[in-house]
Amino acid sequence: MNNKDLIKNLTDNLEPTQKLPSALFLSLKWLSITVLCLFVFAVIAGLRKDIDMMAYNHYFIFETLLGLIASLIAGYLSFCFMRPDFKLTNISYVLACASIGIWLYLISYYLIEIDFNLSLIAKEFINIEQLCSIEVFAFSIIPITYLFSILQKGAVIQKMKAGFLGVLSVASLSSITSRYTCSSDMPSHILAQHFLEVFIIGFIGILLAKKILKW
Amino acid sequence: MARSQQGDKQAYTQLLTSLQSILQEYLYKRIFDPSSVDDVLQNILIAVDKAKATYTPSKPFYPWLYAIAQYKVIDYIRQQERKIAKETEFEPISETFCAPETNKETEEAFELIHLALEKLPEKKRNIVTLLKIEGYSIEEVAEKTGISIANVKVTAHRAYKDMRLTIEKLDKKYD
Repeated sequence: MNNKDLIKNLTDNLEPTQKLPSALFLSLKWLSITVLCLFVFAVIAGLRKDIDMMAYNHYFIFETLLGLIASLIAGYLSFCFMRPDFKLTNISYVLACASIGIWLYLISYYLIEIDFNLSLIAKEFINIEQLCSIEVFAFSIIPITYLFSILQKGAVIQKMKAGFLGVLSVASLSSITSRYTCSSDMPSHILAQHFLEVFIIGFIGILLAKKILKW
Repeated sequence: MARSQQGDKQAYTQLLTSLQSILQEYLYKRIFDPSSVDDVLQNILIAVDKAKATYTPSKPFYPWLYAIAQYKVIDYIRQQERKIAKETEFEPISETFCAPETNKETEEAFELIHLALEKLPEKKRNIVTLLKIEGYSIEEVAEKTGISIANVKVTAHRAYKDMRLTIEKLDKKYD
């Protein structure tokens, strides 16, 4: 097919195009649906018995807020990548680093709590009685599917960055939600079964994005 | 582009046509194989069409276009690299075929077959030549020689048997 024929074909099939909504609108829409979805999952899985007590635990609330902020920032940035001409500016670099930094802070907080005793984490990883990591993964499946279905509508060029940030956003919410369903507050358990999964899922997101976001 | 997003076909044709020369110039600087320029150009035009919803009219058009063009050029380069990596190195077949020992063996085999063929009675030789050297099918040989298909098969079978015996005898003689 020569260029003239191609242009004719493209023009013949032209229909009014619905413009892509702003990244902020998309991220808020996605976040509200995801939060609702995770709330339903948490109720189905069963909320922890001392949930009313945890409402007075300042650090627990602070943790939840940090997770939400990290998720909102990462989600917003991943939706920004839907436009091909989007480039990470200084502000967006700071925002991306902030969302990753929040999780590094949360992980290092608990690492300090256990005095960097990595054998404790290793024990918790293989603790079959409390496999909350499966819950974190399970909670993430539907929001990740929804996220990629939105990202596919755009023209993502920096697929790995978009995938990592998007999935990090989902994993942040899933991890925080799983804290509301698990009654264990042992730092080693929180690290091994709740927080480290955020980065594991994030890296899976890179692989998924490379495959799914091709256009 | 803004008018194209509203469904203006004329504006869209104008846009895509004008993009051709701009993109050709862009591609000739980046792609060393001139025969691939048109392919990449078409890929970019298709990508522009797919991504048209992502263009914001309030923002400049060219950064958006060149981002897509660059993406497709990188895609093309990666494809070429993958293609080169997959291609197996050409084995020097000539060395095998031209190896003096192999050639000698092949020549000897041909000579034996030729002698065995010459020793066949005319009818059998004719059928083997038509079948194995000229490449006709059994049906075609039957039609050409005026013999039934079954007869051609039987004659060919006997001819091969005779040839095998002759070759064995000649082989022993040479050894």
